Amino acid sequence: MHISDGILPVSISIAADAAALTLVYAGGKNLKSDEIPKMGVFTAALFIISLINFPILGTSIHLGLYGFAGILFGMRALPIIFVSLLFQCLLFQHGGLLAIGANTLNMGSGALISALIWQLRRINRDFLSFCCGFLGVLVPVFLLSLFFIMAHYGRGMWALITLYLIPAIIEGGITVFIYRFFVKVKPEYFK
Amino acid sequence: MTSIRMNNNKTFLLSLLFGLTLFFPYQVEAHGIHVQVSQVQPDVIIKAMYHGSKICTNAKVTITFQQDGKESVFTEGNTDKEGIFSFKPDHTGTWTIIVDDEMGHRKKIATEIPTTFFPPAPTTAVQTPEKMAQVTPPSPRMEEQTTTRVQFTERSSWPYIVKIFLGVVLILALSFLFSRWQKKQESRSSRLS
Repeated sequence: MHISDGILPVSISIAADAAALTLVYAGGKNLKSDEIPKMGVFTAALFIISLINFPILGTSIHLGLYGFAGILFGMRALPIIFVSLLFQCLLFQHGGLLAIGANTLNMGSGALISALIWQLRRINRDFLSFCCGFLGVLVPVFLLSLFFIMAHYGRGMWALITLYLIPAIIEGGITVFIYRFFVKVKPEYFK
Repeated sequence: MTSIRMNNNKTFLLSLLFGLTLFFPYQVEAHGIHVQVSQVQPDVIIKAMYHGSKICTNAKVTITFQQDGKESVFTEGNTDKEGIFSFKPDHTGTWTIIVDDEMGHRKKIATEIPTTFFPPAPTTAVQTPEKMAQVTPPSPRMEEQTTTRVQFTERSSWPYIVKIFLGVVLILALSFLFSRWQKKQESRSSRLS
């Protein structure tokens, strides 16, 4: 889902960079020192998790955990996602440096939608965490296809959505599992 | 009470890190496209793979070269089910290969075609029809043998694991330094107030 350089026009990439940096700044504003270690560990987790593929149903998928980042950190997920993408770009050339803003907006949109959904009360938390994981994949795919439409590039929105539908369902299920694990181990994170 | 809570936090963060390291034995692959180039006269053969070992099939390939300061398209096509595409360059110089899977992943690399790539022209001698008939064209079997000799070196996954460790260490070190700096700022502002 990482956009490489040379795919989006420079004007769109720069506009996306400006928008993403503004959101990253807003997300990291008034950060307290005791929040930073937790964010650092989660950034490392995001950095690693999307580099690992699991062979499932004849294909291979990797987790993104953008939905879970939204549940845990809300707006703070944006600097986390930005830093993990920056390191993936610098060390593995996954996604372009100029396109990092577009990539941050894509992945960050999944986290922000999840953070909003998580505010809903009177709804089963397991079901909500599934929705967060599911939309944490599909909302970025939707935004990615919008970027591609703007750039007159790619095989179309449906090609992307059908490609990521099963990984989105699997990610939803895994998000429920991770949420339950965190509720048992660290219930104070969800109070 | 506070120290117990801090210890719990530390244990939790350490166990989370330990849990993450358990993932390392798995195959590491994702996003980026890696292109290997092999020059086997008269072809330049490329193999496109996603980082790791997943083959990049049916990706769009564009071959260009510089002409009068402009980039001219030589040929276009798609990688086959093995992630392979080949073309026959007709002159020396720098050729550009662009592989794009049309899903957001693209790799652009340059390859140099040296003068040694093109065999010297045979010495011109008067060819009689009888002599020409003796020159047998290369059989399809011979061509097949040439193609199967192309060996793309498989990359070791170790540099990736080293890079992952490097990334994790850098992220954690930066967050540690930033956290300490922030703590100092907070204590300074509380002293001032």
